[in-house]
Amino acid sequence: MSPVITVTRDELEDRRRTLLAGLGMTLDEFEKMAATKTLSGPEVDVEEELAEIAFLLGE
Amino acid sequence: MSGSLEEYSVRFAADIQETLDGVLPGKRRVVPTRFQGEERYIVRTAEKNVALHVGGEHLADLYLSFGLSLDRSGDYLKTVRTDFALKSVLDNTPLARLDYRADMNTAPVTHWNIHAERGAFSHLLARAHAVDPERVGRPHALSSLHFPVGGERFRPCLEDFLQFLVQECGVDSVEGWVDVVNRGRQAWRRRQLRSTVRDAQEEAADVLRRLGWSVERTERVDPEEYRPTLERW
Repeated sequence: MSPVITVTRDELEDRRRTLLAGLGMTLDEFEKMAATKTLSGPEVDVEEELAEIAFLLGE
Repeated sequence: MSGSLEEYSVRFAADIQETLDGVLPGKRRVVPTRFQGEERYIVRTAEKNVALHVGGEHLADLYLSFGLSLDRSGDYLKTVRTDFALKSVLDNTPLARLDYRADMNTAPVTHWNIHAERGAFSHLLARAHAVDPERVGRPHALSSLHFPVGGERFRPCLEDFLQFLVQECGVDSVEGWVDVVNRGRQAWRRRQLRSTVRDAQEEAADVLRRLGWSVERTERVDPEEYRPTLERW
C-alpha cells in the first residue's frame, strides 16, 4: 500500500503557478478560456490538476 | 481520529489499486495525497494517466481522480468528487468523461460529457442559443452538455467505467477482470444502498415490513434532512 503524501499550501500554490506559467496565463484567464473554448490536450491536463489543487486547498 | 482517517485513505487507495490491477494490464501505483492539517485527500495514480492498450498498442489513456473529505458528521471520510476520463493518445483530449461533484450547483451531480460532434444536435443547440444564449452557452460543443446519470446515490462506479472501457471500447484486459468488476460493483451498490436507506427511511421500513420484518419507527429521524439527496439531479 502506498503511504499518504502530505503537501503544504506553499507546495500546492507553487505547483499551480508552475502549471499556469507553462501556459503563460493567470488563473482568471485560464478559467475564462476553459469556460468558452474547447481545451487542447495539454490544457485539459492543466485543468484537471488545477481542479485537484483547488479541492485540496478547500477553494 | 486523524490517524484513522489517513489509514482509511490508504485502504481506499489500495482498493482502487486492486481493482485497476485486476482489470487492466500493466503496472501503476495509486497514491493518496493529503493537504497538510486538513482532512482532504486526492487519490489517483502517481503517473497522472493510465495507459490503455488495444492489442498491445497504446491507443488511449485513463485519468481517474477521487476527492475525499469529511462527511456531514465530521467523523468519516466521504468521496465528494470523482473524475473518470477516457482520452485519445492522438491529441490527449477526452473522448468521454464521467464526473461526480457532491457540491455541484447547476450541472447534474453526476454526469457524462461526450466529446463528439453531431450536426443535428448542433442545429438544436444553435437554435436554442439564438433564442437565448443563457439556455445554451456553447452550441458548438456537444462536450459542454452534462448528461445526468443517477445523482449522488445511483451514479455509476469505477467498475462500471472500467467495464465500459473493456467491453464497449475494446481495451485490453487481464484474465479474471469480469469477476473483479462484479465483486467491486456489488460492494459499491451495497454501500450505496445503505446510504439510500438513510435517505428514504419511511420507504425502507415499509418494504421491510411487507417482507415480514418488524420495524419500529424512531422519532430521531428528520426525513427532511435527506430530501436534497433524493431531489437533486
